[in-house]
Amino acid sequence: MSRTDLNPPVVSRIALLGGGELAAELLRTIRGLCPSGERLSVIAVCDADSRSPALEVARTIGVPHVGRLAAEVFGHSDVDVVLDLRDVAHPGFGVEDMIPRDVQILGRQAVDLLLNMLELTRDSEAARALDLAKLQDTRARLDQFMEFAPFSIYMKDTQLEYTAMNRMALTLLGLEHAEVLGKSDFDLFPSAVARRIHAREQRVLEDLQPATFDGVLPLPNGERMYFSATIFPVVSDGEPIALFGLIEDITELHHSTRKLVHQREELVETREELRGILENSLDIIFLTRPNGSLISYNNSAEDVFGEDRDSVLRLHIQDFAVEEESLLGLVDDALEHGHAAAYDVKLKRRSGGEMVTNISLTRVNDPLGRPVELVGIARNITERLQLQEDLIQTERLAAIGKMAAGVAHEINNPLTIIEAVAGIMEDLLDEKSAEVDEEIANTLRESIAKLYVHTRRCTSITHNLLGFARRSAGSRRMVSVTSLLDQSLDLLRPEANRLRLRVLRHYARNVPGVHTDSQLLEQIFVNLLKNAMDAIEERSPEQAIIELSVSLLEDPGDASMSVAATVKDNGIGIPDENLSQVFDLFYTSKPAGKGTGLGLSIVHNILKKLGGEIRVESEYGKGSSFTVVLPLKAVGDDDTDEG
Amino acid sequence: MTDPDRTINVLMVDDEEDLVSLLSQRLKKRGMDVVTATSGAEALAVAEHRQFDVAVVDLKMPGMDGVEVMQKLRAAQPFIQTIMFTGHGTTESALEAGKLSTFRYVMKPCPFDELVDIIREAHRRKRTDLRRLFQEEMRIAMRQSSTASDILAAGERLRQKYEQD
Repeated sequence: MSRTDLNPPVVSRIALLGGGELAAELLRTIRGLCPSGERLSVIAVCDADSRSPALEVARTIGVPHVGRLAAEVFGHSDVDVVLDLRDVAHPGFGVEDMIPRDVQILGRQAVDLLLNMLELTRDSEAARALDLAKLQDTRARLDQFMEFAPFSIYMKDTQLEYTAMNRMALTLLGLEHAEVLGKSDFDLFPSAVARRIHAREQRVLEDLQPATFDGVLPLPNGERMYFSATIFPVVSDGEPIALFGLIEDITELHHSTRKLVHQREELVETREELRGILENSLDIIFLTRPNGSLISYNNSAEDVFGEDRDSVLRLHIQDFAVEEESLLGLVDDALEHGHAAAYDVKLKRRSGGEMVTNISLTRVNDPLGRPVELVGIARNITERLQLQEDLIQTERLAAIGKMAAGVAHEINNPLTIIEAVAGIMEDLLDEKSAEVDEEIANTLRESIAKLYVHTRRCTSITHNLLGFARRSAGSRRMVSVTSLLDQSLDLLRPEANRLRLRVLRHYARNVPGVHTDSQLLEQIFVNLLKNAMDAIEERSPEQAIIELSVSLLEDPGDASMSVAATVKDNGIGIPDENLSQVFDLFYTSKPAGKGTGLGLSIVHNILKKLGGEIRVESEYGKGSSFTVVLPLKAVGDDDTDEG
Repeated sequence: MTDPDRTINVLMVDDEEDLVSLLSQRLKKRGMDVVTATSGAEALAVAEHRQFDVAVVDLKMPGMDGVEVMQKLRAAQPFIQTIMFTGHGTTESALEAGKLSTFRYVMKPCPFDELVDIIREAHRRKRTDLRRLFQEEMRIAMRQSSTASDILAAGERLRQKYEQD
C-alpha cells in the first residue's frame, strides 16, 4: 500500500475491540501521533481480558469508554469505525448485533493503514506549518513591497472587493486604508466610473489576460484625475484567485497632450492662413533654388508660369522675361547681397502679351547660413503705368488747352480791331468811290477781302479753341445716329460733289436712338467727314469713296450697349508714327493754311463730354477709319470745364 | 415794327481804345448814335445824364468787369438792352450773362454786319418791351380813370415813361 493511495483521513472516532498488547501499542502510537485528537481519536476500548494492557493504557490516557463488555462499549452511536483486533474469522465476528449498521468494521490488517495514515497526517501538518511560515514571510515581503513600492497598487479578490491598497495609491486617491478594505468601486466612486472599472476588471478575470485602460476619477478635493490603470489576474490552477491593479496619474500628461494638440491645431490653422494669403495674393510670389530654377509659385503667378507646375519647375526665372537680360544677374545679386530688385521688367503672359512688373528676390538661408531658396515677388504694374501715361497725357492736354484759350482770348481783341479797320477802309471806298481811281479801288477791295478771309481763319481757330461749339450745347434728346450722319454729309454736299464722292452705307437695322446732344454729334460727324474728304483730296484716288457704318455693340464685360458709327475713307491715311498724335491739339497733316489742327482734338473733347470715345485705324497711302462709340445709356453731362 | 427814322443810342464799353473807336466810327456810319467808354466807371458816369437803348459791354475789363457794369446800367436804366461782347469763351460767363437777362452773348471778333444786326434786334426788343408795358399800364389807367382829362394826363405820363412818341 503506497501513501499516495491514501485518502485524507475521514475517520475521527475509533473503537478498539480486543487486541491486548497490540491494542495498547496502537493506543500509545495514536496518542503520540495525534496528541490533541483533532484528526483521530479513540473513544472506546473493549477487551474481554480484564487485565489486558489495552484497558490499562486506555484508562491511563482517559479514553471515554473502556470496558470488558462490547455491549457497554458500542452502545455509543458516535463511533465511526470499529477496529476488530481479535483473532477471529472475520472482523466483528459475534458482535455484529451490537454495532450500529452505519459503523464501518475493520480488521487487524487496517492497523497498518491507520498508522500510515496518521504518519502522513503528521507529515503534512508539519509541512503545512512550514509552508505557512514561508507564506507568511512572502506575504510580509509582498506587503512591504506593496507598501513602499513607488507605484500605486491595489489588490482585489474575485468579487472585485479591495483586499489591499498601498500607501501611494491611497494618497493618490485621497482615501484611508480603512475606507477601502472589503469595499468595491461602487462604494468609493461615482457609479459611471465604477461600472467602467468593474467591467474591465471582470473581463480580466474572465480572460485571464492583463489589460490597460484610461479613465477619469473625481478626487475628494474636487479635482479630476486622469488615470491609466494596468490590471492583471493572479491565477492558481487555471482559476483566478485575485487581481492586481497599478494606477498611474496621467492628468498632467493628459493636459500637456491636449495643449500640444491645441497648439498643433493652431499651427495648422496659421499655416493655412498664411498659405491662403500667399496663394491669393495679387502679387506673383514664387520660390526658386539658389540657381534661379523654379520650385513653387502661387495662383497669381500662373498668369506667367502657367497652371502646369511640373512642366516649368526646372526652368530659370529668366526664361519668363521678354528680354532675358532684364533679369540677368538678379539671382546672383540676391545670393550675394541677400536682396535684389529689378524694375519695369516685362514678363511673358501665358495667354500671350506681356506684363510690366517690379521684381524682388530675397535670399533664404538655412541655420548654417547657406542659401537654400530665393523668395521672389513680382508686382504687375502694367495698368498703373498705363494709368500714369493716360494721366500725363490728360494733364498735358489740359495745360495746352488752358494756355491756348488764354492766347486765343488775347488774340480776339486785335482780330476785332483788324477787322474793324478793314471795314472802315471798305466803308471809305464805298463813300468815296467817285474820287478813287477804279484800278486802285479794285486792288484795295481785293486786299480788304483777303484781310477778311484771314481774320476769319484766325477767328475760327480762336473760337474753336475757346470751345465756341459749346455755346449751342446743352439739350439732349433721342437722336438717330444714321440720320444724323446723313444730315452731316448733306452739309458738305458741295464739297462731296466736287470730289465726285461715292458714299457706301452699311447701316445695321434696329439700331436704337442715342440720348445725346445732336448739335455736338453733328459737329463731330462734320469734322470727321471733312477730314475724310481732305484726306481723299490729298491722295486723289481714281474713285473717292467714303464708307459709313452704324452698328450696335455690346460690352462683353457689363453687357452695356453702345452705338458705333464709322467714317472710312480711301484717302492719304496717317503714318504710323503720327497715329498716336491725331487727337492732340494743333496736330494737323493738312497743307499749311488748310487745317487748324483743332478738328480731331475737338471731336475727342466733345466725345469725352458725351461719354463716348473715338477710335482710329489707318494705313498710310490707303485710307483711314474713324469710329465714334456712344453709350446707349446717357452719361453725366458736365458743362463746367473751361475752354 | 422798328421806327427806321429813330436813331439808336448805343453805349459801347471796352478797355481796348482802338476797338471802341473804330467800331463806333463804323456804327455811326450805319446811323447809330454811339458813345464810347473805356472803363466801367466811365460808362456809368456817361449813363448818369444820358439814356441808351443798347449797351455793348466787354466782359473782361480791369477794375469793374462787364457783368457788374451791366448790372449797374440796368439798375440806372431799366429798359436798356445789354449785349455781352467778349473774347473769352467760357461757358460760365455765358451763363452769368444769361442770369442778367443779357440780350445776346457775342464772341469777338464778330462780323460787323452781324453786330449791327444784333444791335438793331436789341433795339427792336427794347421798343416792343416798352410798347407792351405802355399798353398794359394804359389799359389799367383807362379802367381806373373816370374823366377824359385823367386819361389824357395818364397817357402823357406813360408816354414819357415808356418813351412812346
